[in-house]
Amino acid sequence: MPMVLLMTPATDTTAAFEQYVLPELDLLYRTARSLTHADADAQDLVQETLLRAYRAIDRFDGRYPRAWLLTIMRNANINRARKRQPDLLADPDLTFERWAQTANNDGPEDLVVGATFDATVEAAFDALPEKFREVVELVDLNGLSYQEAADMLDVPVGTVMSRLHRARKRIRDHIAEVGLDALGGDH
Amino acid sequence: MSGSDPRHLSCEEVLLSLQSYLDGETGAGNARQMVGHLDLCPDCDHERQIYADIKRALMSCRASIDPDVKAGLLAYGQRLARGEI
Repeated sequence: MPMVLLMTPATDTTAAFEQYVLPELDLLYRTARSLTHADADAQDLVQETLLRAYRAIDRFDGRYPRAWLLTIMRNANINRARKRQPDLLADPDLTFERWAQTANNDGPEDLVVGATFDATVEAAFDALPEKFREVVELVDLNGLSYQEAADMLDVPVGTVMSRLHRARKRIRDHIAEVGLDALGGDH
Repeated sequence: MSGSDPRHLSCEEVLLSLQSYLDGETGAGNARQMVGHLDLCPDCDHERQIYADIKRALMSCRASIDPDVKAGLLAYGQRLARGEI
């Protein structure tokens, strides 16, 4: 019966897609948001990833679905970037230094008053250079491992570690600048 | 703390591995050595607390997905799964 022969692989494909792909929607969207920095672009990238995953699900062996999906997303994002004119970004180091200079001019008391530890961390995070911020987003906000972040960014795992640790060190230094490091964890 | 005992880490070594340790990216052996040092060294443990707080604060920045966006993506995925796209 041709009908059965046609339906069986489709059912397997559907089941595999629902088992391996759909549960990772949150991860895919958060990661896409980190890569594209825009909600609409992130939705497009997730849809492109889902489409590619669906077309490739027959060849997926069921192992490490997260890594498989993130690789698909990385490749989709590379294709997407190639189609676009590269953005002209300001020098991220200068951006951070300008922000730090402004913060210093305000004085530590001004920064501490009314600010929580978390808000201070978030402000320092926002001011990080792009290359630092993206690894923090992937590891701390999205929960990727060092290796997963390295695969996503197509850089060595040592580069992820270096950028991540330097990024957090900058945040930690800012915490010290505004005098919040003496609080330990009690805030 | 001294790092002369090969089984123990120096403060410098602990501070170098501290972030990887908090990320769960060090091996079990190294993690045990870290714990052994941190239990006895208030200065390094203070640094651990600060970096743990920074990590917790960063994790709390995690943007929740707009339910409508998620519903739209899920519907798209389900249409794909049913072979409708």
